[in-house]
Order: sequence, then structure tokens, then C-alpha cells
Amino acid sequence: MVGIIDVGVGNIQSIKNWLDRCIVNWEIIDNSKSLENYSLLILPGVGSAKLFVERLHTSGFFLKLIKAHSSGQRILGICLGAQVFMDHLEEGGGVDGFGFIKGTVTKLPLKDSNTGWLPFSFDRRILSYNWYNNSKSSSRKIKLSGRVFYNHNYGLLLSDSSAFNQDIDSATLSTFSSIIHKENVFGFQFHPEKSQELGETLLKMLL
Amino acid sequence: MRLGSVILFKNGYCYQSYGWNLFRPLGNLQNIINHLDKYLIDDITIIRPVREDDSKTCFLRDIKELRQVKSSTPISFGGGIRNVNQLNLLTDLPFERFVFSSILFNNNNELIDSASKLFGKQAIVGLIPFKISPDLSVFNSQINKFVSIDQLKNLEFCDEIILYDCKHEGFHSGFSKDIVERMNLDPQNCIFSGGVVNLVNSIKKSSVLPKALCIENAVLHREFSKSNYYEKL
Repeated sequence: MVGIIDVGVGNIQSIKNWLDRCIVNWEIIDNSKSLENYSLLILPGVGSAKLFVERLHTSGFFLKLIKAHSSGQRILGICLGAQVFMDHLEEGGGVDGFGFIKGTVTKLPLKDSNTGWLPFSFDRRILSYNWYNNSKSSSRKIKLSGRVFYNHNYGLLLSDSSAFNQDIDSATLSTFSSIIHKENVFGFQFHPEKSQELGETLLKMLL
Repeated sequence: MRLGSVILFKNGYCYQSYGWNLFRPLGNLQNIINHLDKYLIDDITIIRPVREDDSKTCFLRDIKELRQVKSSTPISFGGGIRNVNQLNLLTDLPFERFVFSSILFNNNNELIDSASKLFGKQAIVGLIPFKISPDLSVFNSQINKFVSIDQLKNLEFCDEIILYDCKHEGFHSGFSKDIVERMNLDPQNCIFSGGVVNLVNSIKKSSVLPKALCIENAVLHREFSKSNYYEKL
């Protein structure tokens, strides 16, 4: 069973639809529920970093997710949900994240946001032992390529040599990460749930 | 450059609109979205074409239906979002971005701040319905009137701006690219819509390159499915 963490912001409905399309059992986790017994926790994120982290604290999810992380439970972050895995997020005056992966989240060197489709490739062999060992993947695919949908103003700048990092496939944004992964934590800067067929295959490869 | 589709949605049905005044029913929203998903269109913009006559009941009814939408394509939604209470009803919609038009004509800073906090600045899209005949005027939906562009405000809060040519809406050509120069906008921050079908075919030769083209109800234009249009862009 996949658990979707609901802090009151974020496009939960799109995540539910994404999991339904991949025929995955899911459950919405509100702050009254325990995070145990889920094979994968999904942390979706939309909105401003400060409000999002504030909601994680007030709902009690911040401490629960730290506990889940240290117990080895797999956590998948999407967009802002992946950004909070880092040490610090600069947006809105700055706020500290979980620090699961060393690095910061900084403003992109663009006048506007990075909104649109960019090329993407994925090789399942980059998955850590911890992730892979708990995997119940419904796809036998090893490699995947296509395009994914981005919509963000701030980007992931990794400084963790022990983490896997895949850069955004764009000349101007190649210092920022598209994927971050370390042990039982995996983050996408883009929106796999809105990346059409590729997003569905990607989920099947990760489960 | 992206190629998207605009869908007009009101009272449970989708419409094709011509010249900003004639509505032709297209059918159920989910059916239209299913087709666009199949075409692998880059993004979908759903607009409620409401004017000063919008009511809370209509808004709630439309939101209820929008909440059920299932799509794997990025979706922007707007039309009738005029206060924070309405904004708070949008948090559980399966959409990434929100389109504001009335906000560009008033000083509702509370609405702008709340939208930025709830969805992030990258999620705020401005919509400017306009016509050039021969003077440039823009449509203020709250008062249901075309007004001077001097009345536009808050453009800096928009991550992207949809320039919607009302005069050429529903037609294959005629989008007035002059608007970009007249309003001193960066085309790379703009989405062109309204009479842009033929523009797709000639965009490579165009001197003004927008960030995206949005075809009104592209569902009627199967030729713009991914396999057909990519070589043109």
C-alpha cells in the first residue's frame, strides 16, 4: 500500500489519479494516522516552501517523516516535496528542510519559472540497495527516456557526494537536479504525475 | 515552445467560442480531456468564460465537476477566481496552475499574496483577453466591458501571460502579434491564443516567438496531435 501524505496543500488529486492509472493501492494519510505499514510514502508539494514546511510542522508530519526515514521506510518527494529533503530552502526568506540529503534549494537563474517539457532519461540500476530491496516493481524495464513536465522557480543544488544526482537536461539549468536519491529517499523536481505515459512507466519502475 | 489547448467550460459543458460571443457546445469535459490526453498535447487551460453574472452556486457546481477531472497532462484553470474564499476551494483540484484575469484590473493584493503562498508564483498565470480594432482594448470580465490597457495592473505577479485575441477566437488565423510590441511585453513570457492555428505552421519563420501557443479547443484539430505538430515546432 502506498501512502500519500496530505498536509492540506499540494495536488493530491493528481497523485491519486496517477496511482489509479498505474493500478496501485493507495491511502491518504492525514495527521491522525501512523506512517508505518506503507511500502512507499509519497510527499507531494505545491506552493510556497515556507507555508509547506510550516504545515509539515503543525500537522506533526515533520517528526513522523524523520522517524520513517531513520527506520528505512521509502519516501518519494515530488517537486516541493523533494525540495524539503534538502538542508535549506531559500524561498520566502529561507526555511530549513529535513536534511536527508545535503544541499540547498535556490532561485533558478531565469527571469521566470522553468515551466514546460524537457528531455529525461532514467536507468533503474541507479536505485540504492535499500530502495531496490523493498521494491515491488510492476515493470521489467531497466531504462526509460522521453520528456517530463517541470513547473518550478527554485531548484535543487546538491552538495552530497554520497547521493545520486541527475541534472536537468537543459543548458541553462544543468547545475540543478532533476532527480535526487539517497538510500530510502527519492525526489523528482519535475511532475511525474503530469508527464503523461512516461510518468506512469516511471512509477511502475520505482514501486 | 509548448503547444497547448484552451477549453471553455461553463455549467458542466465545454464550448467552442467564436469571436467572443457565439458559443458552440462541444460536450462533456472529461471526454474532451481524454482526447487531448491521447493527442499528447503539452498542456491544457480550462477557462470558465464568466462575466459579471457569475454566482457562487455556479462556481461551486463547476468546481465540483473539475475536482473529478482525470488527466496525465498539465492543466491550468481560471475564470471567476475573485476572492480568497474562492481560492481556498481550489486547493484540492488536480491542476498545477491557476489563471487570473480580474486580478489584473484591481488592487486585490490579498488574493495575489494568498495565491502565491498556496500555489507558488510559478503557478500564477495572467489572462488578457484583447482586441485590436483598430485601437487596442482589453476585456475586464468583472464589468463585462472592453477597457483601455492603462487599466491593467499587477502583470509582474504573473509567471506567464495568456494573450487571448477575442476578435479572432475560434478562427484559424488572425492573431494580432502586434499586442506584444504595443504592450511592451517579453514574448518569451507570453502564450498566444485566439486565431493561432495557422501560426503553428509558420512559427519557425516568425520574428515573435512566444513561450507557448494555445489553440482554442484543439480537440477539434486532431492534426495537432503530438506526432503531427512536433516537426512544425
